[in-house]
Amino acid sequence: MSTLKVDGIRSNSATSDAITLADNGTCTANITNNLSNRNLIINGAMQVAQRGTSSTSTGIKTADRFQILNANTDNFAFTQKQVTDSPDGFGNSYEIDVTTAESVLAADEYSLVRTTLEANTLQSLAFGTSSAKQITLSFYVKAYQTGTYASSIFIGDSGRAYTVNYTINQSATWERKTITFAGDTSGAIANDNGVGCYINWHIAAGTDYTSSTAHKNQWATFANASWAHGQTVNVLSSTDNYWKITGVQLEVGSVATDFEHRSYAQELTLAERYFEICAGGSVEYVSATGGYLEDVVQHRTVKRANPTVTLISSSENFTQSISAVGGDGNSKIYQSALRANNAVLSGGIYYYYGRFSADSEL
Amino acid sequence: MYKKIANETRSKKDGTTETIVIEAITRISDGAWIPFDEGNKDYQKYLEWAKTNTAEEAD
Repeated sequence: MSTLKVDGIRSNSATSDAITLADNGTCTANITNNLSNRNLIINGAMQVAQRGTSSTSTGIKTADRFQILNANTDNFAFTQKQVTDSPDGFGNSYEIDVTTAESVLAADEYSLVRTTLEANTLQSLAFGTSSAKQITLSFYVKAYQTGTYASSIFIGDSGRAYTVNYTINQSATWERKTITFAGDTSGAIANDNGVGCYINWHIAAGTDYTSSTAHKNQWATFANASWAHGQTVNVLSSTDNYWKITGVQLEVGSVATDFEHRSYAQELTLAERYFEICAGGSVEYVSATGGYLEDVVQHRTVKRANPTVTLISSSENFTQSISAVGGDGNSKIYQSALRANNAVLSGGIYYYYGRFSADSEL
Repeated sequence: MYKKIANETRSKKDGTTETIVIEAITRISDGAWIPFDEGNKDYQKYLEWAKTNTAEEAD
């Protein structure tokens, strides 16, 4: 039996140790491929698209948890899509496809892709303390236009932001980008169900959003003028243009580990905390005139907040229409119900069923 | 744009009735049921709208 005594193990071509050994008999390892539950992003592989796979509207309409936001654009039209074009090892990506160009970008115009993280999922970052952790964002991106793009993180509770740039080197080619952000010792994130942070990928930004370096490569109070500093590409400029992303991962630490693949079922359950398609129905015998029909539908996943409930479709064998209604928010059960809007008119056997959405997005 | 939801009267098994105050509002465009929960972004939008507008009365 022999013991190898070293303080670190490092590749000949690396600048830092892969394994650092401490004098208390423990070690720290930068392992890139086998840690579970490290990805703070939900639906980073764009597998889940409960609302549909294509939309010409802003907001979350296709891949769950991801959306496009625009401001002041007067010509720009687009389709946001969940598509199958993706790097090896992935099945989907999220695409912004320009269908009408914004050929001249005014100073106050912007467009960005965003995912929003809930505050209580970010407590491990220890932001606002002296122990604030570095975080690393990695993603695969593909676009028609090469050049410099901006990405930014905005912390909801502190109002602080951090903007970085990344470069797309080759047109129409999947490239993996990794960006490490310093920990923010000043801006705490409340341990609640509100907005923790916005992660933005800017795809076009007028000069109102690019003229300041206030929070470029550092945490500082958010400033409009610094939001997309360095963004030189205008994806909106031509209908030839598109921008696609997948494999999005945010993790604690300075190393971009391999993308943590989760199953569709896992991602769906995580996404359902914010949006869920529910279905319910009933066959009921009503013995007297004036019977009242209602069927409680328990959500599969407890919602972040009491959700907005919207009927998608229904079918019934009586003349009263069906509504989807919310439950008792104070109970924290977050169940909803399908009901006939008025009493049925006579005794008999009635059936009805319906689908509805329960939306508690941030 | 928004419409109030009428309170409901429900009969209890002891023969008495109770009034259920519905803490939600309806968005007219799609019939969505929006709960009075400040964590709900649709309710936040309603509150912003209600600063200068008034919801329609319930049926």
